[in-house]
Amino acid sequence: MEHGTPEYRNCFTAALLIFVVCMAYSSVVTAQRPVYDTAASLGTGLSFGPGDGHAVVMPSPIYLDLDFLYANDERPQYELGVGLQAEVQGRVSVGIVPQIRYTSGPEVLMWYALAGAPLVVAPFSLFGVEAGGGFLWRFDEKFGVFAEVVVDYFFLGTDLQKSGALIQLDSNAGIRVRF
Amino acid sequence: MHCKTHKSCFTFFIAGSLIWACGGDCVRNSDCKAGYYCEAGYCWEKGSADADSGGDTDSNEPSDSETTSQSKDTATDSDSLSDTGSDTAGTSGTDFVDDTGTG
Repeated sequence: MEHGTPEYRNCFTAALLIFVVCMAYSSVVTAQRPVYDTAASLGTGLSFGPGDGHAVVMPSPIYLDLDFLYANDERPQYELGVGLQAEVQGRVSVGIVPQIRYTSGPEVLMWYALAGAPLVVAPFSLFGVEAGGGFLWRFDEKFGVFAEVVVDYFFLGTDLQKSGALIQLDSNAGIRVRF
Repeated sequence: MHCKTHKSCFTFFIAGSLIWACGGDCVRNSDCKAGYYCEAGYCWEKGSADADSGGDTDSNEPSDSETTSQSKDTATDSDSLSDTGSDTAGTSGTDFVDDTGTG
């Protein structure tokens, strides 16, 4: 699948659609006071792909993640976000990850579950779905640290082997700032 | 290093940082050097099959020791991106599989 082909455009259209739906949902709930967070983290993990009759396991490239998260004070347990992700080990790639999160609410130690649709856009393409969860420890009103585990399942893209999909089990940790 | 069973792969997974590879060279095309693509866990040179396939067109299996060593050999001594580029201009990895399948 090359850039510019219908399949690639479908990939991009799907991600765009998810993003628009997320933003439309956020506009419904903007009557309440919005809360914006930014999270920056570093992660890696294991990648699983099809081999010659067995699974192949490789280390996932180290990646940087920058998330922009939105919530509102009436439904603090729901968060919507867009992540910018960049692989920085062995290759350089950039992508976006629209996300929705369900959290335990505004607590000092907050847990959350997330679901998203990662789309790597350059220099190759990858599209899939992801699910995961993590913990955020807020040590004051503004700052916190977090760690999360995410499973990605990529099923479309020019970076995939012809013979199958790619599964990544990654974990990342970083800081989170409230504005 | 090959995993004989899924259990052994899982053991490697649990061991985590002790062993970072299990049964292959790659899981994505970007794991391979420029001019190579990933298939069945191994890196293959793009377009080289047209010249090298010769009488070996019946098998597409990368488990073949000849093709595996070929892949690793070419991966280690690949120092000319321009050559690879010109090779790939006319044919792709997909073409290689199709050609060997039909030829």
